[in-house]
Amino acid sequence: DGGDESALSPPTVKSQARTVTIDQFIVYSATFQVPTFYFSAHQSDGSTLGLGDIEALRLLKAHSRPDSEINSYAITPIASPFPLLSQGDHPTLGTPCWYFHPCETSTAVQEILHEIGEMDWEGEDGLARWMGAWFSVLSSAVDL
Amino acid sequence: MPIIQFAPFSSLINPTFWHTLTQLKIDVLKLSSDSVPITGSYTYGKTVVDRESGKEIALGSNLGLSGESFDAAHTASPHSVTVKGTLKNFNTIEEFKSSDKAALFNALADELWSSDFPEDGNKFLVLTFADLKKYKYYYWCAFPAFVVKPSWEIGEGGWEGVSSGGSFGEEDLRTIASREEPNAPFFLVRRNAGGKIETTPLIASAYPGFFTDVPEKDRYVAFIDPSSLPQNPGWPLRNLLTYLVRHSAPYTSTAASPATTSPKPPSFNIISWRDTDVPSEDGGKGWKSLLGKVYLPSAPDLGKTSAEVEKVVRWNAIGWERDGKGKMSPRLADLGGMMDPRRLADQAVDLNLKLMRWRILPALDLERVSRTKCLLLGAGTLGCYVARVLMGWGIRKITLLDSSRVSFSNPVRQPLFEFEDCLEGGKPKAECAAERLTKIFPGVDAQGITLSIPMPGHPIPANEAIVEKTKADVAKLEALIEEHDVVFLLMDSRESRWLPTLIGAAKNKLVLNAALGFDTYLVMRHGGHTPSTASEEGQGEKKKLGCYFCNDIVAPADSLSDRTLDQMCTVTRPGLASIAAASAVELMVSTLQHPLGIDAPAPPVEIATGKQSSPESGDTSYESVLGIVPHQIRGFLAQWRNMIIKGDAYSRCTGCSDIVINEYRSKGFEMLLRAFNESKYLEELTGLDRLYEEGEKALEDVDWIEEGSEEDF
Repeated sequence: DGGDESALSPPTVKSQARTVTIDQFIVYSATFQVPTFYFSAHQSDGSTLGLGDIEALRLLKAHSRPDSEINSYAITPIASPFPLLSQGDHPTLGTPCWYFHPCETSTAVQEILHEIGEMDWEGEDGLARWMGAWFSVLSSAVDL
Repeated sequence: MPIIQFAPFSSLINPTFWHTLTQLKIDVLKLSSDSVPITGSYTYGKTVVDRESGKEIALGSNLGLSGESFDAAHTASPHSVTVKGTLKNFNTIEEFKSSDKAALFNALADELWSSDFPEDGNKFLVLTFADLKKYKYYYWCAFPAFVVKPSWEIGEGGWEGVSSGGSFGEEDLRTIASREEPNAPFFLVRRNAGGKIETTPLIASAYPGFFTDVPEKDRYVAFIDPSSLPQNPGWPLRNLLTYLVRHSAPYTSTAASPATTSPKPPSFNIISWRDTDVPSEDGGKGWKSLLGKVYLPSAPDLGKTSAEVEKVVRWNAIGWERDGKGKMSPRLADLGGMMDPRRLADQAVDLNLKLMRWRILPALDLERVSRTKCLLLGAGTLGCYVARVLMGWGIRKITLLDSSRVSFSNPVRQPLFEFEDCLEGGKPKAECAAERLTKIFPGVDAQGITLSIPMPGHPIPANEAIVEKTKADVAKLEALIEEHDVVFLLMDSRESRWLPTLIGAAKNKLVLNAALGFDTYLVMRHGGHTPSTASEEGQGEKKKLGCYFCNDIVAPADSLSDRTLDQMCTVTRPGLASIAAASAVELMVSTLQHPLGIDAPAPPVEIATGKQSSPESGDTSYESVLGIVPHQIRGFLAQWRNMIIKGDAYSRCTGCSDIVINEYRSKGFEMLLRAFNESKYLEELTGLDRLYEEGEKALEDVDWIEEGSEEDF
C-alpha cells in the first residue's frame, strides 16, 4: 500500500493533536441528595487516562487559588477548597470514573445562595437557581 | 482539476470495547479465532474551537467502537451511522503477527465488490490480540476502499458551501435536513419537475431509478460525511463512488446496449452532508454541508461490453489503518492503568497524596518525599511504625535492617508481625517486615536484611574469621547508607547507634533518631555536614547542629527536669512507640520540604518555646511549608507535653566531630575496630579524656567571689 494519491496522508506525529475523549455525567446521589459530577477520560485507543495525564489536561483547576476565582455573582470570593476527587464506578453504567465526592456539595452551594441572599427557593425557579449555584461551584474546580 | 484526497477513517475506541472483548474471550470465544460480527459507528464531522488560539480544529474522521459494538440488538444513537464489521481475535501474539492479513483483507474486499448493497461499502475489519495478563490489547483496523485509475477529481471551485453556490435555497436544505431515515449513510436528492427537492435513502435498486427523467444538473448523491475538513471528504465517499459508477450505464451488466464508443467519463454532483440540525439563525455559521462536482477524467476500467463487465477483475483496495506514528503497523492499547489492580492501588495512593496538595498545601513537594530512599535500622516497635507512616507518605523504597527474629511478645506492639511469624523459632524480623510491607502495598520496593551492627564497648573476638565477618558487615552497612537518602536509627540500644551516626555524618546523609524511655521519647535529626553551610566553629546559624552523641556532654538548656532516657529500655508505654515513630517520619518530611534540606536551621528559641509567634530577627527562613523544622523533640507523656530543643554540635563528639570523621575517612575499618575493641579509644581520640582536666583547670583559674556549684559535667 504505497503512495495512494487519493488518501490524505496522516499528519506527522508532531503536528497531530492527541485526541482525548472526556465523558461527563451528572448523577443524582441518593445518599447525599445532591447532583454529583462524574467524568472519565480515554484516548483514541480505548485506554483511560491516569491521574498524571488528567492533571495535564487542565480539566481540573487544581492549581488555581481560591481567591482568584471570579464568579458571576461578583461577591466576596468563596474560599472553597478543591473538592474531594475520588475514583469509583458510575452508579448506573458501572464503568470506572472519577467523581467529586458529594459530601460537601450542599454546604458549598448553600454558601453561594446565602451570599446572593436569594430567598425565593421554591418551585422550579428555585431549583433552577440552586442548579445555577451548583454549576458555579463546579466550575471553580472544573474547566467546563 | 485537483485530485480528491479522501480523509481516512481513524478508529476511536471506548474502553468498554476492550472490556466486552475480554468478557467475550473468557466466556465465549476462549481459544477460537472465528470471526465475530460487530458494528461500529460514525457521525457527522465536527470541529472544535481551541480556547487558547481561537482556531477551529477539525476532529478526526472517526469510526467508533465500544462495548455496544458486540451487541447486535443495539440501536444507533441519533445522527450516527451504524456500520457492519468483523472482528477476528487471535490467541497469541505470534498468530496475530503472522496471520495472513492480505488474505483477510482481500476476502472482505471481494465481499464488498460483489455486494449489491451500497451500505456494505462501509464494512470494516478489526484484528485483535488480547494479552489478558498484562491488560494490553493489540489491534489493527482496516477500512477497505477501492482504488481507481485515474483518481477521482473535484471540479473547478472545489467544494462549496451548499447554501452559497446557488444550487439550494433555505427551504431545500430544510427539506433535506428533515428527511426520513436521517441515519442512512447515503441518500439521493433530486429536484423534481415542480422545482421541489425530494430525497430517498440509497438502498439497493434505488439508483439509478430515482433519477429517471431527471436532468443531470438536478441529480445529487449525498452522504453523511465524518470528515470536517473543508476540502477533504470522508472515506465512505470512495466506495460510494465506486458503487455509483458500477451501477451507471454503460457499466452495469444489464446495460441496454453495449457501448461501442468510449463511454463518457462518470461525473456526479456530490453533497457532503454535515448538518445534524437546521443551523440556528442568530449569528451562527450557517449550513456546514458542502457540494462538489466529482468526476473521473477518463473512463475507468470496467469493461466495454456486458460480457466484459461480468468478468471484470475487482479493483485494488487499500485501507489498513496506520499507527500513531503514521506507519503501516498495528496499535496497542494499554489498559493496565484501569484494570491492573497493582496500578489501581498505585494510583489511589497517589491520588490521596495529591489531594493533600490540591486541597490544602499547593506548595507541598510530594515528589521530593516519594523518591526519598529510606533505610530503617531496627525492625522492632519503632521500625514497624516508621515503615507504615513512610508508606502513607508515598515513599516507595524502604529497606529494613535487624539482627533478630520475631518473638511471641512482638506482634502486639510491632504492627508488621503476626502470630504465625513467631513459630518455629521466629522469622527473621527484617525480611518478614519487608514482605509484610509488600503485602500491604505491592507498589513498594521493600527489602529486609539481617545484620548485626558492631558497637563500641562490645569487643570483636580476635578470631580472624569473625574479624573478617565484621569487616564485611561494616562494608555492607556503609554501602546501604550510601544507597539511601535517609537513615532512621530505631534500635534498642545506645551504642548500636554510634557506627551509623559516624557513617551518616561522613556521607552527609539525613539521619533521624528516635529513642524511647518508659513514658518519654526523643526524636531528633542529626545536623548536616555540608561543608559550606555550617561548621563546628561557627556562631548562631552557622553552627552545626548536633547528633545523638553530642548531647551526652552538652546538656540542653532545660534538661534538669528531664529524666534520663538513654538507658537501654525495653519497657515503654505502648502508645509511645507510635507517637515517636510518627513524629520521626513527620520530622523527616518537614526537613525535606525545607529548601536547605539536611542543613535546615532549627527554629529560634523564642519560636521553639512558643514565647513569640514571629522571630526577633524577622528572618523566617527557618520555616518550611509544613512549619518549623526542630532539631530535637522531647516528649513527656505523663505531662502530655513536647519540648522543642536545639543542641549544637560538639567539637569533641565521639559520633560526628571533625576529628572522628577525619580519622574514619583516613583509617577506615582499622579505626572502627579500635573503637569497638578499646574502651578508651574514642575518648582519647576526641580529647574527651582531657576534658575533665581542662574543666578542673578552668575552675582553678576563675576567681570565685562567692561559693557556687558547677554541675555542667
